[in-house]
Amino acid sequence: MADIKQIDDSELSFCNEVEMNEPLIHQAVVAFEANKRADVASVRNRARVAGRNKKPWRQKGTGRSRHGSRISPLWVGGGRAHGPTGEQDHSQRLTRKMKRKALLSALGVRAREDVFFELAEVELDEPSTATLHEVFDDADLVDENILLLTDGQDRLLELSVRNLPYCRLLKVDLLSTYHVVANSALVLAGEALEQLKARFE
Amino acid sequence: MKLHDLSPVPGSKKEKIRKGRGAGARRGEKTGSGTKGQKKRFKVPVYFEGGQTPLYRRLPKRGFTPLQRGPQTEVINVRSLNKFDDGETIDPRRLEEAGLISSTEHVKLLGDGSLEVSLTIEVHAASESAVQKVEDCDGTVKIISSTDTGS
Repeated sequence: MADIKQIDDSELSFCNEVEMNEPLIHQAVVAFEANKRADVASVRNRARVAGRNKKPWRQKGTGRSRHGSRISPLWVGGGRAHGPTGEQDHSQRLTRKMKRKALLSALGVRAREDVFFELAEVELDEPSTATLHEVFDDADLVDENILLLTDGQDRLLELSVRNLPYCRLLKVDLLSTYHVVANSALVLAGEALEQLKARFE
Repeated sequence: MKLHDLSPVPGSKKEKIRKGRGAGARRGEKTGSGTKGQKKRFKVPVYFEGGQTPLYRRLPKRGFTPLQRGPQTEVINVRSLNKFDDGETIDPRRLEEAGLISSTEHVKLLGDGSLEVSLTIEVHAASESAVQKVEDCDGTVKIISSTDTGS
């Protein structure tokens, strides 16, 4: 039955000699997170706050400080000055070369940390989460955050894995620097390793 | 390596200076602008006189912008060309030297009078009758572009 084993260093020769470029990896990760960001923060300015704009009391003679509006940003319940609008663009862009270099560098670092595994000989007749759980359990990976990289061909494998709480599923061609750094084990299935290598030829 | 192990290039991220936060702070009061009040906040134009009607509005407007004209057409009739020698090539520059026109910017040949010499004429425009008369004398009329003033 299916079996997980460490990927041999020789198989990872395309990346495991690559020097670590920490600032670049950092930038790629920050950019990935920034691009995920949905600009939710939104706030009402003094024009949007409910309330009428009447002068609360006369300018002089009350002994109170002068005020012109109860929706002024100075007041409790007033509008917010220069607040977020919900329309800011937080996205960041990396050039193609930067993306590529960051990914290769991150793969190199993780390769030296021995976090690459291979999932081989999966033969399923029907989707079975229990079977796959057993496989990961045997490999002592259930306490990790696993990222299973697939070639997108094995539908039964994808169905079997996607309800495992410790495992995330991603097609290998969508792999980015963030995924490489954020997961504690990277498990490649099917043709995934070949496809990953092909990206750096 | 984990997400929290990563850091950017040392020194590449600088904390923003919070200006104008209290009189005791080094960047309180004038906040590095050298002065207080209006001049601290933005550039006041030199012609601003504190709200008093400034000089440029106190005095009446005068003058106007002259009309921009296109190239002026110089007109020459075929009757003036009889002073040139047979077979000569005439361009605007040559006409100017002969004192027939004062500007070579745009020259038009017209057909008044009669022509007795055979000439090659280069001008910016020519009337039909002028062309006819030049060709009757075995000459030719060549139309040149308006930027061309001849050699």
